[in-house]
Amino acid sequence: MEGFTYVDIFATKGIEYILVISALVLFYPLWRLVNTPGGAVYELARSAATTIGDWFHMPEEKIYYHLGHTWAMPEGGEVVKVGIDDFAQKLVGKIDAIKFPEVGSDMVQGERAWSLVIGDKVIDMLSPVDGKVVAVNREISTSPEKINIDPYGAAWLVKVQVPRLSANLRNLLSGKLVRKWMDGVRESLMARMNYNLGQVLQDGGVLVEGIAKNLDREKWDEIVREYFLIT
Amino acid sequence: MSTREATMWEERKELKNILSFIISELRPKGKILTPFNIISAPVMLLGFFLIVYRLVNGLHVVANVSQEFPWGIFIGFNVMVGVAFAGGAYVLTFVVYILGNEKYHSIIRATVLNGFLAYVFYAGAIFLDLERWWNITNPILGNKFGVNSVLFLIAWHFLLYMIVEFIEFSPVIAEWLGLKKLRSFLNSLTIGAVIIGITLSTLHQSGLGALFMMAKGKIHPLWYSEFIPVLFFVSSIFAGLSMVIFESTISHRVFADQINFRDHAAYNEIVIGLSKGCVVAMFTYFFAQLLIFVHGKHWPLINTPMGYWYLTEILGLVALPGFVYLYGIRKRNLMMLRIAAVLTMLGIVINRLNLSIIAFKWWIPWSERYIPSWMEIVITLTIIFVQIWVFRWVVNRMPVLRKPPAWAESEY
Repeated sequence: MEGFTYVDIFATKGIEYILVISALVLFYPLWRLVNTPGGAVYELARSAATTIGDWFHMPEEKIYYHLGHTWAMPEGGEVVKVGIDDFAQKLVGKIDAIKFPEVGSDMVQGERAWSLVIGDKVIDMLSPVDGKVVAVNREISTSPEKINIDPYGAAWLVKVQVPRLSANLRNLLSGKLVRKWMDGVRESLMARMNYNLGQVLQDGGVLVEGIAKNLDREKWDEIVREYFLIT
Repeated sequence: MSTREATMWEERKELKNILSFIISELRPKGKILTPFNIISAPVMLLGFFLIVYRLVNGLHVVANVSQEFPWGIFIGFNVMVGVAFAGGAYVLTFVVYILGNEKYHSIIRATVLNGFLAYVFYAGAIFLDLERWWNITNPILGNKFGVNSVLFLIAWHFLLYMIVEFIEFSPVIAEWLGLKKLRSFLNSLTIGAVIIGITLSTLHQSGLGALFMMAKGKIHPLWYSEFIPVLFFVSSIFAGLSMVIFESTISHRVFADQINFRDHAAYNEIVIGLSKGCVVAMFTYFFAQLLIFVHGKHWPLINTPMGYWYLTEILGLVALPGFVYLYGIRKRNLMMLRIAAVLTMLGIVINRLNLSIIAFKWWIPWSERYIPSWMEIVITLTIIFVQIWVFRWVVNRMPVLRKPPAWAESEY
């Protein structure tokens, strides 16, 4: 048929098809690029993501944790040992002194029990149990750095006589629940790290400085109080 | 005194308390002589005078618009650009309330407030562009609905959207006034308002584009196409998100004392997330523009002055900021992302001005074309400054950036 031509309608169609297909094809690498941070930061973040799981030593047996990062360990009878967990000590770093409760005084689960003195800041912590203080660990007051070395052993803080022990322990976390809880804690910590990751991962930096100071030099104590549930 | 009288007395007392609280809040807070105030106050004063002058004597006394060039900067800049920049509100309410992504919750109030004010002031600027402004109620109340006009749709959408945005923001006002019952009621309206708001937004963002479809032949073919509504909709996504990045950057400096450290830390992640949205939307937009270009067989137009201007917009202010965004995301460099946001916003301003002013009747020499008068520029600046003043007033008083009061936190 003379004079009949597709050209006008379809002149640009070929290129349009190629454009659409290339847009779809290009979208894949774009999506990858957008969703994976590049270069050094990515490597750091990835290594952090794998190691951060092992960052905090939180035994799941025999120890019961309070959400404010204190723990209780039954000693037999009504007496329990109480202390601060590994996350808490890594968060605050070097502790200068501890303000203990008096022997014979009462502690109430979920209420302020003792305070950590770090530099010029005093940070309260919550008691994991109800009861009467029967002993405090005087060794820790002379060398508080032991908390950073052995938070669940030599660095217990107080012994408490707990009349309603089983009821108290039911309010605390143990076993598999500990891991689930710490997964959340780790995630919230990861979300905060952002660009300070490098500093945090420096060798030894974590232990001396504490994670919180690496997150925010000015308001680190507010971060700590938030994790310790002190508001 | 009977029980009834006692309750009435109580209620009256409460009302009186609220009124005196509002009056006390009207007083200025903080320093008055800041550089921003010193610059903006005289401009606003002059602007108010010019607005009254214009309303009394007609549009022609302040604006250079004419029958030949009907769209000046009141429409091309205030309405077109202002509404595109307000797009962040519908995008973010979709992400937070519909997709349930809580990451962006902390910036939702500021974004909704900004969106609401943008509609009141920038879309409201359409009022200044109406020669017979007292007829503005026609499309709503009747007399002459003008149902054949795209503006009928836009008038209704603007009105409804302002109401919806106000409902979305209203729990904050109730928190400010301490009205617990009212807040809980208003809070229950949020999800419905969000759904209506998103629907309206997608329609009127593209509806604004549809206004230009009537100007076929008057707009340069590189800018004119049947797909302008689609382009307007897609571009409003990254325009709005870029505005959120820009606005929150400034808010985080100016109102730093109202934001707790947690939001500051999470803020970096939020900016990166918003930037990702921008990249994807800009990629889509860029390819749509490319398709339209090829489909329209516009190759011969490229090697002309308007062609170079077109390339400046598409390559310099769409593709380039897109790459800057991508680079910033990969390097997690906030400064890059901010630069990209500013470039993107500039691209939107240029695009909307191209359609309404620069590429409009491009064949007529500039000496005979529309150039805004100084009075139009002062009025436009006044509108921007008033919006910023109101935004600042609200943020300094209501729990927009700071945490809501303790009694309201559980529902926040």
